[in-house]
Amino acid sequence: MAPLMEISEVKAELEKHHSSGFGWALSCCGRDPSEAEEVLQLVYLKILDGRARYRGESSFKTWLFAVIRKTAASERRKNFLRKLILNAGAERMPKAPRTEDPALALERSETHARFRHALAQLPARQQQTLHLVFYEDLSLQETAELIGISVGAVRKHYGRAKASLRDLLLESEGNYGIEWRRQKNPSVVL
Amino acid sequence: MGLNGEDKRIRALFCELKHEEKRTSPLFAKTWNIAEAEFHRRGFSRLRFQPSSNLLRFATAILVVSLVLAATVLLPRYLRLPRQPRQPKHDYAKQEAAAAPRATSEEPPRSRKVPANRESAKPTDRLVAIRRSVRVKKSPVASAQLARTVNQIKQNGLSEWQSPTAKLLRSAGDELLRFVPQMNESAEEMKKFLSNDLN
Repeated sequence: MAPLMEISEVKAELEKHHSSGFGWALSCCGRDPSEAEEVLQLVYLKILDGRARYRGESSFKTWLFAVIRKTAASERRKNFLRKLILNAGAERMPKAPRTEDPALALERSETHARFRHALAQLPARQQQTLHLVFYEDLSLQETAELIGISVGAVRKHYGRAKASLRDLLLESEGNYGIEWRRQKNPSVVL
Repeated sequence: MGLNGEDKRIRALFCELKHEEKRTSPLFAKTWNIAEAEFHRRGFSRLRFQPSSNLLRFATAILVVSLVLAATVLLPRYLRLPRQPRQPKHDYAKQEAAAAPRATSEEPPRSRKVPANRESAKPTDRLVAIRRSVRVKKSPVASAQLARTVNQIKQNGLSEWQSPTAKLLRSAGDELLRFVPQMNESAEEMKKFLSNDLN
């Protein structure tokens, strides 16, 4: 077993994987930026107080992503319970003020919005599989290791996710579906 | 992994998404500083969800305790529910056995002439027959009737008991059949009696 890393080393590694970690947190939180940010803060807090320790059993990125996934799932459960039972304002970590730049919002293309919408309609496991394969460029083996399921199951999720995404995009209105079909079969007359 | 057109398209879309999210992602320093400040504020303790989790535990404990209490209080009551007391058959037999000698001892002098073979029938057999006939009905009225009959027998003795339908069997000429004419009885008395009876 590799010796535990110093906090400075861990911090450097975290900084390196921060943006991809945020993207993964977004994927685990249903693309909610504020929730993803809170999850990331919690992950860093877990690392600081020693609840999450990297022992060198896998790559740092795999370990970090696993911690993010578990934290996001735990947060989702807690939020659900809080809403369901207590409905009380439990102590929350102070959120960093987040204001979206209107210019950035305008920049979002229609295609992109449609893609986001289609992605959000997929089951969580399929979303995560697609994210890890296409967004993080991980192999199916690594994806299986990270999600904690077998490679066969990942392959199944991957296939289904792609098919569902294609269907959803084709169903969506506008030129995107037409463009998609034209790319697949250039001779098609639409 | 070989990429076909579809895969390439999805990858391109994810690339766009990645670029956009990179631009909107919070700064590492800011997120780290917030986490660090929270860590120092909490003093190395896990107080993140303590109030809510404590409340949840407390509610669960109350629920468990109330369930256990309910089980300990209600279950024995439920198990001790009074069942319909079933009197065994020998109880009736005992009662009848007790009633039978009294009935014979308290037998009043015969005012009416009853056939000897009816008198000799066992009282226990008659009681059992009555009870059976009533028990078949299995209704509150029938049980009340049975209770009345048993009380009546207990009070007056078995020889005094009359069936509830005995009235229906009575007729005007019953008196004639109750006695047997004697050998020395005069014809005049017979005539008198007959004329009275006919009138």
